[in-house]
Amino acid sequence: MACSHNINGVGGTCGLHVQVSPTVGGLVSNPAATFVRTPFMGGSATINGTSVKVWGFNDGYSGLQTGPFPSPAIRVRQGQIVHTKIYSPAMPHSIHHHGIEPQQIFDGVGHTSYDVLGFYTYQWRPHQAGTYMYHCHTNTVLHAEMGMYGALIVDPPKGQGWAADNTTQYNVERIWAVDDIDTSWHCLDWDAALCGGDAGLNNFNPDLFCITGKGQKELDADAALSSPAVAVKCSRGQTVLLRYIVASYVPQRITFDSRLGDVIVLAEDGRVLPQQNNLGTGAVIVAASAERFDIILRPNVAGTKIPVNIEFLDYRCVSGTPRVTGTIKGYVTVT
Amino acid sequence: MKRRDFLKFGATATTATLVSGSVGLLSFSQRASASTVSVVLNAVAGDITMVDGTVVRVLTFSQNSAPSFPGPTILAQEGDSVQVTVNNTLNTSVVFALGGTGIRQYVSANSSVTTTFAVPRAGTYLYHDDQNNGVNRVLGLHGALVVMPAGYNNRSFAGAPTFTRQYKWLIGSVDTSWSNQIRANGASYVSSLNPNTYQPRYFTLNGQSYPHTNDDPNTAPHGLYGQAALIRLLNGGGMVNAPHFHGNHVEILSVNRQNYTSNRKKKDVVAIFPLDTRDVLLPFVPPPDAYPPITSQVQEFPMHCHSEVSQTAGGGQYPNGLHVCMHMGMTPPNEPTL
Repeated sequence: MACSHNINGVGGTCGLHVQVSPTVGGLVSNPAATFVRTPFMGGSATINGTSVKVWGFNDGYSGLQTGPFPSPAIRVRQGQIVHTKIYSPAMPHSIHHHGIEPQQIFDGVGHTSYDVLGFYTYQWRPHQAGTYMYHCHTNTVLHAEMGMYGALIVDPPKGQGWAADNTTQYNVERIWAVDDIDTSWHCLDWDAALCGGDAGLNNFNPDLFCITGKGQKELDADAALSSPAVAVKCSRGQTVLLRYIVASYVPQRITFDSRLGDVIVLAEDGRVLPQQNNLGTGAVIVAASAERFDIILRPNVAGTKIPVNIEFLDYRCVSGTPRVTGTIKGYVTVT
Repeated sequence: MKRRDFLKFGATATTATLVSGSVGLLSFSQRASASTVSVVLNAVAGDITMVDGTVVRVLTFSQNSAPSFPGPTILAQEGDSVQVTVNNTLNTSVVFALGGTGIRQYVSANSSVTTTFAVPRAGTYLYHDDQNNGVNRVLGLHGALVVMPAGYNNRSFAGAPTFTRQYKWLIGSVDTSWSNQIRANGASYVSSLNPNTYQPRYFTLNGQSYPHTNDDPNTAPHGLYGQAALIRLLNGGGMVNAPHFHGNHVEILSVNRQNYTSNRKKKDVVAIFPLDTRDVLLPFVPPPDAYPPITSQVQEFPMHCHSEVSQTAGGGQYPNGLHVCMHMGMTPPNEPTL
């Protein structure tokens, strides 16, 4: 496959649809909410005590080549017209609002719209509250793995404090973006194997696991029981909304300790279930990449660091019976 | 581009419908009465070409002597019986097993067996060779059986919502190392392959990868707004997939033939483990979060597996894997008899 190395000075753009600051019609001048995201590609994160190179998005226009992992959340209210502005000065990137269904030119997929170099504005109006995410959709297999993703929360008309059904009130909310990392991928170039060649992007063997950027060591070292902002801390009888994002490439098996009480799934993939799905105590959820679950817990038993046990399953599964490749425990402390 | 090339026998005689394995868009007309469907499946070894030109050896069920990855789709209706003749040209045994049922026929190396079974109730079934912990299946010995409900051309079961078109989406994956070992040592080497060594390098839908999937209106769904598509997902490959739909959430109608007559979930990711089937309804409604709203404009949205390793070919070349687009606001160039 022939390579073009001279498009806007960026190499390895085979299959991409690079546009410099594309302009499209139909943008409103007064969106209800506006977010700016600037890609960075020189970040690092410490996960389970190990430093790993990450890429992501900074909030606002930024010249920084470092930034947070995962990327800062986008939070809007149902029905708002929203602008997400990408500013990608060095390398083409894009933003796909995963689960949000805007028109094609705002969907953020390079090969059906643009891989953006420079500026671009995505316009969308979420019609259903729930838990979504956003991520780069350029050479996605590498860029999403590198950390170019963040949570996207759509609040219902009543606003924060109310679950997606606009009826269930919660006291404590946590976003768990549960990810797997293959550190051997994390020194690859932006355009790895876009033009052919074998970068091993079919061969994924995660060796780090994290919940919203925190590994087991970081979670275990959490003396405050609610910091980093991953651990759940609540009082007996309170309602917890756990926004669970499967950010891994491999499937997960999620087991809730029975002390957490009934596990109630209120919404999946940004859609309120027609009936709340009460999975009972000690529930197990098996989920695949990029699913989201809005889970309600109302624990009534006091306990410190009650675990949610997460197993990562190998994606290679010829027999149909999955093999566990890694684990992490998230914690809920009930006082 | 492959064109729709289904075979359809006269409705008055003993009736069989076998559809080429590469074809997703299914044409079906209910027959006045059930009958015996006669099917010949040849178990053959042969070479097929991946999206980047790599030639791989596969073992497949086929209507002829050429490999068919995946095997042809058997299209039947409730009440039918299926008479399957498996001509096994391989130097190893094969099995015709129908997922979710007890139907299973063993066929020795270099021999032929005919078996007849009453079709199970309406739904989507994976037929496959279940030997060697899935090795035979993953190498290509699999295909779809679609059973339409009695009395309906436009529902997947009585009580399901109606569709305008229906597609079979059969997921596969290819490990070139396994393929080379079969080429070097013959089909009987299947028993020497350790399923835990599987490392897929190609990821297919109806045997093709993007962009060929998207060039083929028999796999890439087309429709005007309001023309819902039934998509019958099957996983014959060797990895856990997470088909993610842009543009529209899909309604989950059936999970491994457990039918949901009400309170159906809407999902943008449909988890599917190997051997599993999912029937989903893609409503073909204008993208609901668009502003300004879409009314009739043509829109193209991807469906791709979000276990992103599947978005590669030969270790790279994003997005030439398990990826296709839905074409909304336009009808397909080759409309089947609906």
